[in-house]
Order: sequence, then C-alpha cells, then structure tokens
Amino acid sequence: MGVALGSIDGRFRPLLRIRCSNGGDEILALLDTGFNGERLCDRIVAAEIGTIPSGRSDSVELAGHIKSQAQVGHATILWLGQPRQVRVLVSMAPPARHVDGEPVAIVGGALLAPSLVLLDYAAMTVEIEAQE
Amino acid sequence: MTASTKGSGFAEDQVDFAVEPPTTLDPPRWLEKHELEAIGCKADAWLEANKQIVDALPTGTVVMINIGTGEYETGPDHEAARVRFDRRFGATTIGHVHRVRMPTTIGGGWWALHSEV
Repeated sequence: MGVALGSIDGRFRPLLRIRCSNGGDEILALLDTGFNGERLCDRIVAAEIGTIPSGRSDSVELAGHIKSQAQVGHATILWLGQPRQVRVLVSMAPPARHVDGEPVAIVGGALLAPSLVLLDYAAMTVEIEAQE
Repeated sequence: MTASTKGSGFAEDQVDFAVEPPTTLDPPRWLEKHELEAIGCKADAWLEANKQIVDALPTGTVVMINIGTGEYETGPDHEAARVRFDRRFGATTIGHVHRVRMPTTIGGGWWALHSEV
C-alpha cells in the first residue's frame, strides 16, 4: 500500500510534498482538514502543475460563513504511489509571493479519504497510508 | 432525478445582472475575476429561484447549473454530475457547481495560502 510522508513545521502546520504527473517539480502543500475538497491553489500554481480549466465555478464557504467563488480544474498527481486525477479549486485571490518552505497549495479531506492519516505532534511528522 | 427543461430558471427580476458572464469557454481558459463573480451572482439567483427543487434533493447531490440557459443536471457526486452535464451541454459550457447541504468549506486555509510571511 502507498504511503506519503510529511512533516509538521514550527508553526504546527502539517506539510506534504506532492509530485504532479506533468513532470514538474514537487510542490509543498498544507494538509487542511478544514477543507473538504481535494486541492486548492492559485492560478499560477494551477498552471505550473498542468491543471486544465473546466469553465465551472464552485461556491466555497470560508471561516465565519463568508462565501466566495473558486474555479474548478482538473490535474493528475502522484498520490500514494498511484496517478490520481484530482478536482482542483483555483482561488482568484491575488497569488502570494512564494517563499521557500511556505506551502503553495492546500489538500483537504476529499483527497485524504479513504486513507489513514497520522499527525504526530510529538515527532512532528505526517504519515498518510492508503487503506484500499 | 430529472433535469429541468423549463424556462431560464433564473430569478432575474431579483438581480441586476450588470455584467453578463460568458456562456462557453472554447478553448478552455481561466475565468477572469469579474466573470467568476458574475457567474456566482447568476448561480445565487438560480438557487434562490429554485430553492424548493434543490431542497427536495438528497443531501450531497451535486447540481450543475448551465449559466447560459438555467437548465441543470444532477449526480450523486461531482464526477457523475460533470459527465451528465458535459454530455448534455458540451464540455465547454459554463456551469456552476452546488452540492446540496454540503458546501465546499475551506476553513482557515484560504488565508494561510495567501498570507504574507
């Protein structure tokens, strides 16, 4: 069964490196269990990972029940040792300046299911294990 | 579940559509912010006008609204709804996704992604 390993940084954020199947570099993603989609990023990162726009929008609900709009695209990533097509939500917020060690994408519950996710805040490690 | 074939389905008398969103994207491209906002506005009007229909659907049903015509397709998940929508309206037709009583939530991540460090 496939396993993904990550780490928890000094700001207590669970982080994972994810490889896209378009042959590009790995990207650093924040594991956010408050996000129930598969993946969220901005337009620049979406293009870098080969996301294909679908022309569809999705209403998203932020903390405090604030509503916003995101675009929907599709990309293929290598996830737990297997290629997996994921539904990517693309933020229209202005892309942030990317800083080394800072995540450029968010992965959520829809990508994690049905895996075993172990967040070890003693060892500061993340382990995700396929369960199928 | 069946798809709507009636009218536009929009509560247009309730909303001022100052900006009309595009109805197709060919070739595929990312929507501009004002286009996305216009689509969201039309989608909200559609959901308000069709509240009884949407409320009667099972929780988790994905409704894909054709922003140009107000017709829609449904499915038990995103992929099923997308396949039905694309088959009926074409893959380049602009649509809006609504999941019944299961909105996409982002929590604090949106800000985490876009915060300056």
